[in-house]
Amino acid sequence: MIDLHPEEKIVLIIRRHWLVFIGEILPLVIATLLIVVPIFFSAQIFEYASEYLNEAQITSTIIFISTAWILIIWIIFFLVFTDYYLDVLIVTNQRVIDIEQKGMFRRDIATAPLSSIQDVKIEILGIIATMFNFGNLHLQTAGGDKEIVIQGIKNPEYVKKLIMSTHRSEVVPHNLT
Amino acid sequence: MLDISVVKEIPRLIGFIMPIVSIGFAVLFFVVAIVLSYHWRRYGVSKPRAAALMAAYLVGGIVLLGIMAFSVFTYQT
Repeated sequence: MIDLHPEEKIVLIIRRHWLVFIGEILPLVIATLLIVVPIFFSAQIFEYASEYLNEAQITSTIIFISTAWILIIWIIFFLVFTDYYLDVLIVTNQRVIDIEQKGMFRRDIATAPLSSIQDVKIEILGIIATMFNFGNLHLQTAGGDKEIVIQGIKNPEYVKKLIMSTHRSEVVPHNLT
Repeated sequence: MLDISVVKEIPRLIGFIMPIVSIGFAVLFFVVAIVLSYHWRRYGVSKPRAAALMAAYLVGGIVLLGIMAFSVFTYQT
């Protein structure tokens, strides 16, 4: 997944909350449900199309269009899933790595050494995020206004505590010596 | 009102388009399968999980392509 430095250990690998994924696939679910539309209008479709096609041809055409529609949704579902699954936050004992997959052929990897992290802020927005415990994580790094934002991460408070504690245990002792 | 000669051609036109669209979908489906499997392998999805995902993708997709092919066949006969 990522090349680690010598003596670098992964402390945490975390993805966005599953509810964020559900939110992303909701339009696909609605699109899938649209295939019942021809059933509601089957009488009208048969009445209109029977001028040109016989009954078997109409049925075949409806099945063909519906199946093509579902196949498109099926392909998009896997693309969305891959996009979700490959977005990952890795906390190691030396740095924080935010990998963001954007579509199939764009991938952003932001890395912040723990020593450069100055502030960790979490943002839990709304009732659903509060109930299901997910939110945004902002990592403020030294050197200007650089900020890494990881959106929709699960258990942001725990992640914040972990980054802070790793920072204390791994970076502060080195600075004191 | 459509010209009657055009109307007569509609069944033949649909019968001509359906197999082409089916082949197009099949090509798209398998190209996406290759792209997905490349991404899963390259970006650290574990082998058993990648295999399970690919199996689900292929089974669902091939069933749908099969239904499409069947509807093309029933349309033609």
